[in-house]
Amino acid sequence: MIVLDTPRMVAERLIERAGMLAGVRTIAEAVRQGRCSAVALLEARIERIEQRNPLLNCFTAIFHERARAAAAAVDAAVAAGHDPGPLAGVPFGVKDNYDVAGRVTLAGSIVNRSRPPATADAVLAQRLIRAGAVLVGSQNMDEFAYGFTTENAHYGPTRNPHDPRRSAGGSSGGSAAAVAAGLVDCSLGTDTNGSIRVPASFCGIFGLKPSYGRLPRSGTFPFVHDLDHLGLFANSAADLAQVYDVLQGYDTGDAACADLPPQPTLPGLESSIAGLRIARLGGWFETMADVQGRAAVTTVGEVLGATDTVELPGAAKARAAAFVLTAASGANLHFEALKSRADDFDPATRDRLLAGALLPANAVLQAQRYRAAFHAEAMGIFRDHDILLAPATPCSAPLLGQPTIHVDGADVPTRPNIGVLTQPLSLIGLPVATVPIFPRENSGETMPIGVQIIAAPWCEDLALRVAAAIEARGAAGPRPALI
Amino acid sequence: MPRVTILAFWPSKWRRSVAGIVASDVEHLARMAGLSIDAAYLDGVAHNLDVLLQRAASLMEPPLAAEIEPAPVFRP
Repeated sequence: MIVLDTPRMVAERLIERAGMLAGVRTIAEAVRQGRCSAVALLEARIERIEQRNPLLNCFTAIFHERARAAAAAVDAAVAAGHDPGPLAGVPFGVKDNYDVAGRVTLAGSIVNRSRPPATADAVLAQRLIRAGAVLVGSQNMDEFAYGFTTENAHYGPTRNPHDPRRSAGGSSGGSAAAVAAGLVDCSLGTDTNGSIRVPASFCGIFGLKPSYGRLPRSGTFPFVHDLDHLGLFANSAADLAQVYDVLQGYDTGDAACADLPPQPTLPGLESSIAGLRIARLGGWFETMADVQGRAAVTTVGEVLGATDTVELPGAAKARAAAFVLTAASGANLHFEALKSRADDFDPATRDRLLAGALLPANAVLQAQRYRAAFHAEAMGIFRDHDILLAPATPCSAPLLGQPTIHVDGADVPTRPNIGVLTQPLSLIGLPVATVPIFPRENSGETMPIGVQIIAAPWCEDLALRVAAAIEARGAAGPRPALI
Repeated sequence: MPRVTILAFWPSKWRRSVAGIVASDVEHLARMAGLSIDAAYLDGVAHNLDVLLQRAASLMEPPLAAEIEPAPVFRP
């Protein structure tokens, strides 16, 4: 007797492959070919979210009705012989600072509750939906994206799926943890100082922060206009490339968006990396990382045959400049609310923004000028190199509420120092892919850490190609989460 | 909803002044900026401003060349 798989059986197999998601490409292919129902897939996914989210706290809202209607429309398109798109039926989530039509964009705050509901989805969400993806919900974050741990005073902390006692990283912590826990296949986040790369590192998944100006920020709530990047999380380099290719394209709604045609990365993803000039970043990027972070870069360097080490001597000051500009710009953005509703801010956000409002203009202008100098320094490195490697975080995920981490021979406060290795790079808008490195057995470590694959501006294709090569050679990749 | 105790951004052990900013400085600067800061927040703001000014000071030396200009919107 021949037993045909029901759509639900196919959906469950796709979800439960090795305890993780099957991946964007596998799901979309199955849905487009009619082997898997988008509705069945979504229902299985919602069940999984309802089981795991109460502990993990990845989502701030789940859009049951809207998602069910969207999945049904995908199935109807397939039944009618139409192609729903390259992301057919792929469930995804967006960080809480992305507009969702009909909802107030809270950005992890209560201050924003007085704003009107969004009239349309954020442009990047629209692009995924047009490609057949199904928006499942909004995801938790640090208030106004000003943090690296997603310990949000209003909406609670997001917990790490590999160890719920630990931070998922931030500020896009809910988005990263949802992917790592297999609640969605991809998530959209934002990265101003490291808010995609840090949670990707802590949660053991892939992340991409494209060049500044590459992806339009239209329909997202800003933090620091001249540092804000949009980006994404997924469970493989190929999934990143497939989704990123759909996201690309100019939009007039973002003054900083570059008017460039899309540059597809998926077709060349598996091209040879022979001939690429790859080096490890030393100096600041070594001394500010712990043993596990340095070992992760060594592992990646070995599989890539990268023996050179280069330095960006201005990195420490670049981090300082990012620190100053973030406080000043964030304070400027929230100045009216700081005047009238300071009590409504998360205490960790409020004190820093108020301090930023008091900075002298000279300090801010000097930070902007230093950025230009550091940009020139980095461009000099890229004359001789195509890809640079560095740890994404100084250590793996700390415990929630952990007051200090150990960096460069000293205990330093956790929350201000998690971004020391990401801030210099976003200051000058470089594209960076993050790959997850899990510790070897018997190493004494249990948590993953990310390695940044850093390219010259507009060279996301190279960063993704190298990320895919590292994954193909077995050095990087996600693992099933405990939760 | 799961909750943890939210620590201040800077644990108290690290709340010591380096640039010399104290609560009365914050009150004075806030008045100039058109802000009224609750007394309960003054110490926290003073510490954060102190840290910011330290970071800013690190950018002042050596002086940057005159032709390095601040870009209001940075384009790589």
